[in-house]
Amino acid sequence: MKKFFSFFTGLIKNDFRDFQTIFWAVIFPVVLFIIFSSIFGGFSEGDFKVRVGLVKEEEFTGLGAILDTVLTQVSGENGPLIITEYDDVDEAVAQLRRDKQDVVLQIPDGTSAKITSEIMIKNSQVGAANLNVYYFGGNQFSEISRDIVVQIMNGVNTEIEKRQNNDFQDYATQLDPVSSEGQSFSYDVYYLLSVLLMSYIIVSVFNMPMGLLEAKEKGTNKKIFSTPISPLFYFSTYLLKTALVGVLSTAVVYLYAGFISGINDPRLYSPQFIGVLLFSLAVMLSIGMMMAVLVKKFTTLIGVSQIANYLFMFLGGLWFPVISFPWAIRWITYVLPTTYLIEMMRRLIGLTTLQMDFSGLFLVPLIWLIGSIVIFFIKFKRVMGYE
Amino acid sequence: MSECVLKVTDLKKRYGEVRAVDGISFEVKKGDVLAILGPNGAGKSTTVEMIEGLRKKDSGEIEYFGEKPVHITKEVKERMGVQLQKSAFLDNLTVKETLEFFGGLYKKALKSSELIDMMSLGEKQKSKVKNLSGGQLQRLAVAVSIVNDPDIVFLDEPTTGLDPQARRMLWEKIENLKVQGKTVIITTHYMEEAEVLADEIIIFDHGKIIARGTLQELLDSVSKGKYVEFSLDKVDGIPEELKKIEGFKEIEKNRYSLPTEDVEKTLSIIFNISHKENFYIENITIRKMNLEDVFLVLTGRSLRD
Repeated sequence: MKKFFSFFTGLIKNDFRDFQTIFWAVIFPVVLFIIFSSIFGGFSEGDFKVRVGLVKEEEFTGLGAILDTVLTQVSGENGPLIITEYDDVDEAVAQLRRDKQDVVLQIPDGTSAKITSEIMIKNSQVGAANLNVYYFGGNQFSEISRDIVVQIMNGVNTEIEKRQNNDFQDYATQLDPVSSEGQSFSYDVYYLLSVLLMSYIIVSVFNMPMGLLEAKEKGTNKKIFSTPISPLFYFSTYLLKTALVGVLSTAVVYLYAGFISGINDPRLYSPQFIGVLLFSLAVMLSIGMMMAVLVKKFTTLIGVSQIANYLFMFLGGLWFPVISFPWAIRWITYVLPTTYLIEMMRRLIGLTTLQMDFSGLFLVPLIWLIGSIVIFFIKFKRVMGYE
Repeated sequence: MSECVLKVTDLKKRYGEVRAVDGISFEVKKGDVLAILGPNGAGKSTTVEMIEGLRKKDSGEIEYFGEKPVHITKEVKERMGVQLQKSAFLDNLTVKETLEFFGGLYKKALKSSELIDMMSLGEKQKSKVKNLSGGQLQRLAVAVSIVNDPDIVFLDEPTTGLDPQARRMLWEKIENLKVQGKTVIITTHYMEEAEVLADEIIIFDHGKIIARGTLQELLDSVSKGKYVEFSLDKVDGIPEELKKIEGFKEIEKNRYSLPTEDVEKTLSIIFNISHKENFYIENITIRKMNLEDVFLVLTGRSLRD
C-alpha cells in the first residue's frame, strides 16, 4: 500500500504540474464548452424567435386583411416572430444594422388592393403585390430569418391561390408536439455531452500513449524497473492515474455546466448516464493503451494521435449528426466507438440520431474495448518491458 | 576473507551477429569498489544491466549475495542501488519529492534530508528535476541509487558529460560510499575515475575482459616504466633515428612519446639525435604510465577511440 501511495501520488503530482496535461485534459474541454454554449446556448426548442421590423405603409383593407391575420398568427406568445412596427423603412433598416432586428418586412402602399384584385378578378391586370424583405447580408441568423419570413409570405400566396380555385382541397393537418419525459431539448446539454466525450478522447489518445512512450524513450521506465516495482504494478498505477485525469476533467466540466451555465438536467446525474460515462472512459483508455504498444516512436505517435483524435471526434458525430455524412464516410463512422458512445449519452437525455436498440449500441465499443486490451497485453513488453 | 556479494560466471549476450558480452566472469567482494573500464561499445553497460535485471542474459550465471536465482528477485532489488547511464526522473517533481518517490518504492529507505545533505543538494531540494544542471542531476541520480541504503551500488558512467569540477565533486561523494562500506561497481571510460576510485579494475574490450587487477597490478603487467613526451622545433618531417627507437609514437600533432625504464638514458639518446640532426627538443614531460597506456598496449587503440 505504501508503494502504491508513493508511486500514485508521484505520478499525479508530476502530471498535474504539467501545464499541457492540465490544459488539454481539463481546461480545454471547459473552454470549448464555453464557446459552444455561447454560440448555441440561446437555442432550444421553445424559444427560437425571429425579430421582425414591420413597416406597413397602409392599413390593411378588404382581402388584404389576410396578411394581417397571418402576421398575427405567427407572432405573439407562441409564434416564431417578434414583430415591432416602424413608421419609416429607413428607421427599421437602421435598427437592422444595429442588430436590434433580424429582418425587416416592408408592405408597400397598395398591397391590400392588389391582393383583393388577384383574388376577386380573374386575369387581373393590376399586377402582383411586391413585399420587400431587408436582411443583414453575411449574418447567418439574419439570412435564416429572411428565409423564414419569405416562407411565411409564400403561405399567403398559397392562401390567395386557394381562394382563386374553387376545387382546391385543404390538408387537414394536426400537429402533435412530443417531448421526452416532459423535458425540452437544449443545445447546451447536447454540446456538454460532446465535450465530455472529447475530454476522454484527449486523455486517451494523447495523455495515455504519449506518457507511456515518452517514459520508455526517456528512460524513466528503466529507472523505475531497477526498483522492486513490477511492470504490471507500474502500468496499473499509471492507468489509474490517467483515469483520474479523465474523471477530474468530467468533474470540472460538470461543475462549470451546473454552477456557471445553469444546466441542471437531472438525467445527467442518473446512474445510467454515469455508467455510460465510465464505460466511455474505459473504451477510450483501452484504445490509448493499444496505441502505446502499436506505435514504436514518440514522434510517430504524435501524428497517429492527431489522426485518431480527429477521426473519433468528427467522424464519431460529436459535433455533427453522422446520418448527414456522405454514404462512403458513413461506413467509417459505423466502425468508430465514439459514434455509439455519444449516441448512448444522447439517448439518455432523450435524443435519438441512430436507429438502433440501446443495448445494440454497446456492441461496437465493447469490441474495441476487448480487442484493444488483448492487443495491449500481447504486446505489453514493447512499452512496459525491460529492453 | 570478505563475503562475495556478486559472482558472474560466463555471462553472454548477443545482438544479432554482434557478441556484446562474450563469456564474462568476475566476482566482487563486500566493501570493494570495482571499476569496469572500457571504450564505448565494449559491453560494460550491457553486462551491468544484465546484472541489474534490466536486460535478459543469453547464458551464464549471476550469483547475488550467495544465491543464484533464475531471474532477479524483488528481494535482490531491495538490496541493490542502480544509477543508470541515462537517468530520467519525473521532470515536475522536486529533488526532495524525487527522493521520497523512489524511497517509497522500497521497504527500507533513508531520509531524503540525509541524502540531500550527503550529496550537497540542499539549495536545490525544492527545485524541479527539469531545472537541475547536469552535475546536480548526476548527484541526484547517485542519491536515488542509495535511497534504499543498498548493499551494492551500480554506477553506470556517473560523471559522463560533467565538467572537471563537477566530476571531482561527484568522486568525493562516491568515495563517501566506500567509507560507508558499500560495495560499488562503476562503469566508466575515464581512466582517471577508475584510478581515483577503484580498489580493483576490469578492462573490457569487444565484450571480453582483457585485463583485471588493482591499478598497480595492471600497470606492472604492461611495464614498470615511464613515458617521455616532447615536441620538436621543426614540424617538417620527424628524424629517422627518432622513429627507429622502440615504442616511439606520435600522440598528437608535433607531440611524441617514448616508453622507458631509464629516463636519463632515453633523454640522452634524444638530445644526441637533436644535436646531430640540428633541431631542438621542446616541452619535455616525464610521466608515469596510466590506464590509458595499459589499454593502448593491450589493444593498440585509445580508450576514447
